[in-house]
Amino acid sequence: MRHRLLAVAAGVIAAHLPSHLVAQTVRFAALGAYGTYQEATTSREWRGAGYGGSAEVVGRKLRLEGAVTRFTMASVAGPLSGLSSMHVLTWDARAGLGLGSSFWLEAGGGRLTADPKLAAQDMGFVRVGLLSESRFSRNADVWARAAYLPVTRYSGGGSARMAVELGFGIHLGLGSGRFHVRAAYQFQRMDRTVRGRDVPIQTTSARLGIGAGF
Amino acid sequence: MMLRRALAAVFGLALLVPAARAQESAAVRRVKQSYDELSYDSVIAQGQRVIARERLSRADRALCYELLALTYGALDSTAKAVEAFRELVRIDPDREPDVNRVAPRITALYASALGQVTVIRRVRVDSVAFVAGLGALPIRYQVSRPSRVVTRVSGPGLDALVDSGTAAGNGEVRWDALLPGGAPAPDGRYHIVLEATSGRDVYQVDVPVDVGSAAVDTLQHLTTLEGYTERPESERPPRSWRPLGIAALYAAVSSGASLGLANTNVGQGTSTGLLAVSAATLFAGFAMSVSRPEPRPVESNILYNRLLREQIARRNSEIAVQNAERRRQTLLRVTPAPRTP
Repeated sequence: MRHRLLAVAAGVIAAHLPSHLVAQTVRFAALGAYGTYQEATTSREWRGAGYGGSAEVVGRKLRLEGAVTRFTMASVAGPLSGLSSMHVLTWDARAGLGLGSSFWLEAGGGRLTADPKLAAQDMGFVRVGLLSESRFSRNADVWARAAYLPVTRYSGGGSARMAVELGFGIHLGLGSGRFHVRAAYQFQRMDRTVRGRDVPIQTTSARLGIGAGF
Repeated sequence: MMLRRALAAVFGLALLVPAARAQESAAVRRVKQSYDELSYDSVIAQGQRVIARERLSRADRALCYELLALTYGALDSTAKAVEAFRELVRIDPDREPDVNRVAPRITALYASALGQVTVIRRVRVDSVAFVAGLGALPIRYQVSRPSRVVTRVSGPGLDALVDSGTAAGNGEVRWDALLPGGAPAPDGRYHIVLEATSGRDVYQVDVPVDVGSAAVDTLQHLTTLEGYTERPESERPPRSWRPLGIAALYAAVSSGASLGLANTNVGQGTSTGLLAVSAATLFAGFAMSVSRPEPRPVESNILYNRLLREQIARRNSEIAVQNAERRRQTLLRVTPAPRTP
């Protein structure tokens, strides 16, 4: 019942959105990924590949993005506490508001969960940043983004006095633009402290995908 | 004196050649034969008798008076020559000696006679077509003396005064071919009667014209304006290395910032993903630089075409209004009809 009410409310809101906010492009993509997770010391470094998917709705002044990626990572320095691999699931969500023709003010959140729990920190964060996008043509663009993560939460506690996120990538339409390839790189640095001790976390991910849009 | 008379006769003969074709009366032919033989006494005797006794057509009567006038002129009988020319002018005002063929003295006698009678001559009516209410039929004429000229028109359902005024020398009246109520005159034959009055002299000439009516042609709508053509609204820009430059800039700045911000305390990490995405970005920029650019809109041409289409639409709306007006109008064609003698 609650879901139905939410669906109806979403429909009503969508129907009453101003025309300049209505989406012009909707894209979906399947992603292959390669990522790293580093925490505290050089001995706690994980690397691995994964897969995922993304969805993107871009209007004239409003854009929404979401991506989910599942990595299977292995410890670079050998088994840690008897664990040599882990699964990491990342969620990213962003909403952007257009500032002129090539800049977007972005806000959103993200979540990272590790399995098993002891291998890495489960964390969540809120991001606020800026996206710069430059169009080569109707079907191709390059972008870069930078965000500050003002709110971070960790399963192991602590907080980050400085947490930033950088990223860049390309989107290249194929043929008529119905299909496209995309590549994106994302870097996160969180200077986390727990009870006065520095326990920094750093993640990177490179995603390569192919998708369709309309 | 004899030479002068002979020359006058020869000139007069030349003048009469066209008219002789039309005459049929045998009596008039005999008068002309006498004139050709320079038998002036015979011309005068026969001519006066024929005019007095014979029932002659208008052309024959005019020819007789002309032969008499030339004969009197050749015999230096000025008064009688003028009198004969006066009669000729009354019968056929447009018949006059050819100044290139007759002696100037004869021409002077004719001019003297013309100034003594009131006639309307050289009436000219050309075929015209005009929209009823917007044009008129011009009727041009000459009066031999200053006169009051009244013009009337009569025809199917119409008998109206067209114009009344004084004229000297050349005159012109215009008939709009409208009924008194303003409607176009119905199709048919109309008689335009010009009456010149000077003192007690009154002269009338009847000019028959045929009036026909038709619908006014409508104007075609425009698809183009002459001298203006639509311009291409898009153009393909030349190839440029700008995409590669921008891609390199984005990749370099982002990669540099990522590497610069990397926390080395947690390890060196790996740049594999960074390099892969940077390479992909550079490749995309390179591909966009060497590929054929997409056409881009040319705003000035789009504006030009829009203004051109608006202008054509405006002209077409004006044409539509004009055509609506034209469909209510009538085109009148007025052509001169043969005059009855």
